[in-house]
Amino acid sequence: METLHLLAGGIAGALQPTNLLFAFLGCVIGTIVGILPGIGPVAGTAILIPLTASLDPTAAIIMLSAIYYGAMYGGTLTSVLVNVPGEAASAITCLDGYAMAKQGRAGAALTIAAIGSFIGGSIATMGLVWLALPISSVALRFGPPEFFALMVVGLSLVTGLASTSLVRALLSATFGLMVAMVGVDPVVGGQRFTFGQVDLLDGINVVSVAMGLFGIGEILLIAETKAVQVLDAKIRTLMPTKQDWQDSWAPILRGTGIGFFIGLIPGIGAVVPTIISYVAEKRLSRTPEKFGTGMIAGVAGPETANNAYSNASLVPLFTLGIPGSPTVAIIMGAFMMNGLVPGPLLFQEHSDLVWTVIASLFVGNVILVILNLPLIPLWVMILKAPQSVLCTLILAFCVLGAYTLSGSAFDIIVMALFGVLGYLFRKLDIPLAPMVLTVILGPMMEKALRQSLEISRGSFEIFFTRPISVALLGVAAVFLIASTLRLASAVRGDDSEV
Amino acid sequence: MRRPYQVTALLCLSLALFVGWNAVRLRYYTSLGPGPGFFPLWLAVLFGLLALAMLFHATWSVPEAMKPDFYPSRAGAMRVGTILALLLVAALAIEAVGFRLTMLAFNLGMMGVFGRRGWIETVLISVAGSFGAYYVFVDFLKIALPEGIF
Amino acid sequence: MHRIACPALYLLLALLPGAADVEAATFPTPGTPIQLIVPYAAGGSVDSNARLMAAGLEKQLGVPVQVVNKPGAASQLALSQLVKTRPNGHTLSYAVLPTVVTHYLDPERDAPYTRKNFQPIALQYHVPAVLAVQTASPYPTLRDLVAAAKAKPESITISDSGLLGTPHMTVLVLEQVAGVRFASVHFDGGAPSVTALLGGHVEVLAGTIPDAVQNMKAGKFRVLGIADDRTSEFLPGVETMRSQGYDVLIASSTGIVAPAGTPKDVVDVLTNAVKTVIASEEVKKRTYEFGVTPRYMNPDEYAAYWEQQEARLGPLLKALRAK
Repeated sequence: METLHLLAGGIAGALQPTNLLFAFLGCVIGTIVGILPGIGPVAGTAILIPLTASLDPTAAIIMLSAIYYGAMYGGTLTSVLVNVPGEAASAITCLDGYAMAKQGRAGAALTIAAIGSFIGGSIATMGLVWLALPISSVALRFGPPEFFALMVVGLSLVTGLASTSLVRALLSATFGLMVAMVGVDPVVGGQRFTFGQVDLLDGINVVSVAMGLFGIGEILLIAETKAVQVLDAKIRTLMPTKQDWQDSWAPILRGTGIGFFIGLIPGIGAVVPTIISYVAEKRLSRTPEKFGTGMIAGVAGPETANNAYSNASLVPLFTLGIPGSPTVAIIMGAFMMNGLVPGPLLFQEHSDLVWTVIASLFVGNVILVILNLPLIPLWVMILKAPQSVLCTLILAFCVLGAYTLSGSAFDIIVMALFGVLGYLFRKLDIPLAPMVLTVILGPMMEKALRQSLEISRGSFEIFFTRPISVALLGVAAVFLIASTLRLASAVRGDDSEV
Repeated sequence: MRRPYQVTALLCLSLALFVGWNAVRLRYYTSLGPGPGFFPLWLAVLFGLLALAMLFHATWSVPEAMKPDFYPSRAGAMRVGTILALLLVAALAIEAVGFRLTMLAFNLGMMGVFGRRGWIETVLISVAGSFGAYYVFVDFLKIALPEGIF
Repeated sequence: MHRIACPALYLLLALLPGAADVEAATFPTPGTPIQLIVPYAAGGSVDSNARLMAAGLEKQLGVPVQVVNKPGAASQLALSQLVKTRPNGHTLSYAVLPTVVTHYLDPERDAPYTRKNFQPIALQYHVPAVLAVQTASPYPTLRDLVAAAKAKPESITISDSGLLGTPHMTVLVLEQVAGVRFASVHFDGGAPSVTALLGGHVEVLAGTIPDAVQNMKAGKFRVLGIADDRTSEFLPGVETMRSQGYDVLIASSTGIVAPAGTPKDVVDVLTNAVKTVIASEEVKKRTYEFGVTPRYMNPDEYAAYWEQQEARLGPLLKALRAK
């Protein structure tokens, strides 16, 4: 009851005109930042930090948080409309979102994504209100061994992303893992597959990879065939059909759960929940083979998951003072600049501010949905632009985005190379999703493995003596056995789907 | 689709050999577990096996039907090649020449690839995608882009 | 004809970029922006301080100062580019010691520069390293920790922000001066290494002062010592490692550098401007809020400090790689 009382006070605070204005501004800026590839929420919030110094701390923090979750929605727009993920957490949405746009159902995809984001964000905030303290201490038990086990689960799901041929899906996944090996290795800090290129020391940027595979690859296909059906497709309906709603509500709820729980674990990042949600929906679907051809569940789940994630990832910050992701670290910086120390004492010392910020998360989610729903018809109009104009601007946009990633032309070349790869892979029916998954998970897994072994001084027992790690590895084993059986039967020729 | 998969499989096989050859020169194991060469080596082995599986499958089982538009037309291939060349030139020129001029040329080129738009539209779009974008990023968002000679 | 050509020629000269360089040997060239490279991602500690500095320098120098983020390879990417730019004072970069030293002393990294390729402009601030444990730790003092490490070599786990980062270097130096061996666990940045101690996955945290401040206030961490020659106002009651008998002096020492060959008068203009900015009340206040300690050094002191770090850490790096 006391919580409710505090929350009511917070809502009153969040609805004050100044705070409302900054929540609104944050949502707008966040959406823009999400749309622009290369500038993610991290850069967006960082650029605004100097500006927030002159603001009232509550307003500043409200705005920065709004940018964070606003960006998750902005990224969806470009993924769905032009197959260019505005940031990595929306990469997976390209698969079905863009396929829907090609069928003239971009409006439906965006509406469902907006509603899903709203639900995910709101429920996660509710979780923040009631479950924050008890759950966050459990999340701390996630050390390197648990991380490693979670990454293994993620990788074991990879065969779930196969479409027509298991061999091709695995080829794509293995290729992604090899790409992930480039850079300074996490073991001895030596150079690996860098060929003396200093640009490669940090490895290959996932966003360049995703922009190339999806965005550039698609433009090359369009340019080759001058296929009219792709972008001139009639924009049939803006609103989701009754069937769309029926197909979406369960993925939205599951996406909320996945996003929320992963958001509690510091350091995993917004991409992982979207992938897990996508794979879960595909596995649970009665028609998994149709994923990638415009399944609404493939948009609803991941898009909900990334919003739930971004709201939930504020939990470790508020309760433990741990910034779970780079953007949250910047929000934490805004707290510190104002002499506020995030952590257990924050709720006691600055209760007003904390509850106003929490309430503003609800308010912000409402603003986002109000802001975005009426704009969807406008966004969809982009698809009506002439092909040459659209393709030129998308490419210019990709070049700009790749350059701003690290202020280096090198990423433009990486993007172009992966564009060629995306083009060839699609011609050969090799799925792109497994590769994106492994490029992201590969380095995290290798790092977590090394850290675990540094803790245990080289003993692998560490993975089998910790309950969470054992449970996760058990799950991975089940998935792996299931896929191996499938592979074995495929090799014997019982399955025509090799 | 027999030949394309055979070619792909052979390309993958050579990549696996290349990666494997580089991986054996990295440390395989350390006192604390897998070294930097451990994963690359096993990945190369796995990749090679998958490539072999693809090769055998493409060669000895009933081939999938050829996609009608698998091989691009001459004009199509030209367009793809031009786009990639434009991207490469843009990457090489952007630091030295500057964002605005590079992107202006890039956009004009791209509009040419897709063709058949009025020149006013072509110029407007190209300027918007170069000078316009520069203005928004540098003056409005304060994100540095290469200034170059102009 | 002569009379007509002359004004036209002057006009042409004035319009040519760079022409003013030749005409007047003033620095900075009016209207030409100065690029201040931040070799780390936007939003980090160096970035925040750099943006503060850039705003101050603009006022001092009267030309635009652009902050350019070029993150990558622990700053090696940006510094490799910096040493190749024209040494005219219009391209500067932030550099963090001892990180830069590890770039060229570690044979694995193989950086294309050494101390001699840089012209130090001014050191701006220090972020001293610390060691911290959980409040309930069985090692309540640095002495206890060292004694325990002597008894069980290579078994006490210490998290740090990454291989050869400032906190890891601190551990290496402590190992040397105390004659012990710890079990280092390398994370990817400061935040995960702090989380690892909070979660009890490691026994000790090697970090920098801002990593420890809030958890000490919250009563979760006990800071065992500061790797500096003086105590810190951010960590009241914490002694230096030196005063406890372990001569460990390691900080992320952050300053501004130019490519070698920058003319002396240009360096002077820049150094004075940086010095004025650091001394201003506004910047002092904000720097404090960022949790870092301003510590100005002029180019000569900066270079000497740099070389001293090199001499101190070089053998340690060699020993680490020889293993």
